[in-house]
Amino acid sequence: MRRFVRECSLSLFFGVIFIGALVGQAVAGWHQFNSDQLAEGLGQISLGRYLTSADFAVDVTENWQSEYLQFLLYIVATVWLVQRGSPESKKVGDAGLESPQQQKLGRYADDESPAWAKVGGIRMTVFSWSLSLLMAAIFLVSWFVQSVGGWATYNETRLQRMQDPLRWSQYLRDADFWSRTLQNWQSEFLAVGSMAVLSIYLRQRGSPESKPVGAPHASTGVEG
Amino acid sequence: MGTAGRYLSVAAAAATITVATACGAQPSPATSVARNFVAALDASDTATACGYLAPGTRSDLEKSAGKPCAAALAEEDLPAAGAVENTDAFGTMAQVRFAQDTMFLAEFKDGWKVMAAGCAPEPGHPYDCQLQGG
Repeated sequence: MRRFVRECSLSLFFGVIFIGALVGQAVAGWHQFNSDQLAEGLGQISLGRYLTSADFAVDVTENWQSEYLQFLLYIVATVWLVQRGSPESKKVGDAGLESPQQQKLGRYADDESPAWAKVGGIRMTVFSWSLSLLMAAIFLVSWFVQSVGGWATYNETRLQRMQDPLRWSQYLRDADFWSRTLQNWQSEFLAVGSMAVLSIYLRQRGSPESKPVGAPHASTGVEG
Repeated sequence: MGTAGRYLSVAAAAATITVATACGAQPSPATSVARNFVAALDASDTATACGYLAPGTRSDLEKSAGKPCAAALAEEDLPAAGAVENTDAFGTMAQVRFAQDTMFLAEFKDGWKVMAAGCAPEPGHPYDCQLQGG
């Protein structure tokens, strides 16, 4: 058990703080929802009802979709795009999917390589792209859930204002959907771009996300 | 089923639950309350009709008319609503369209209540309602 905790401390740490933040968001969001309802002279709801509401669903999934899009774009973009001096980038000149030998595919796989890296065919192709495929799938599903939750909560607001509700197809073209989507996208793209550039000149001793403290600014694809 | 298949099934279930939650909020209870409100008005039973009004709407009606709800509602002369044509419900709000009227309802702890009635559409603007809360 101790060994498990020590060897998996990174995922355990982020798992715990994720759950804590989600619980905190649920409670804060529930209070905010009820506060808004009270201000409008409307009925308040229980925490249980709030957790199954479109309001909570959209607030959660609008963030999830942008995080997974961020990772998807970063994972795929770093195959072909480079940033000189950044530890987040491959070396200039190494852009592309790389050779089977570099990627330990097929006959170049060793004994400890995953089975699907050795087999060839469609399974090897799928496994070769499995990380971006799963990120894309989670992004698309959470974006879809955001669109449905956002549609429902926006229509709830429209009805409070004595306005007709929109159809889902209309909501996909509405400013509310794109405002929610793009406000999340811009922050994710900024964060990733910042990381790629700032890590050229700044260091964090001991982190694999940073170059070694004494590494030159011009060194690319070097981890600490 | 592989790991990816399991994850996709969970995502599909989550999406289905969200759609059901978003779309499946109770149109029937809101429609029933709206129908009961209309039926009470048609029977000139404004005291019963007042029981279906949202607290804010009832309070504003009494304040603006300067008399109890039942008397104030009798003087409102709301249009005869006709049959229910459509109900849309999202979260704690609902819109019930009748043949000759549109009403907006809100869900409270003690059930659905009429927030606004005698509502006419105003293109590009909120409905103009004869009876509504502040």
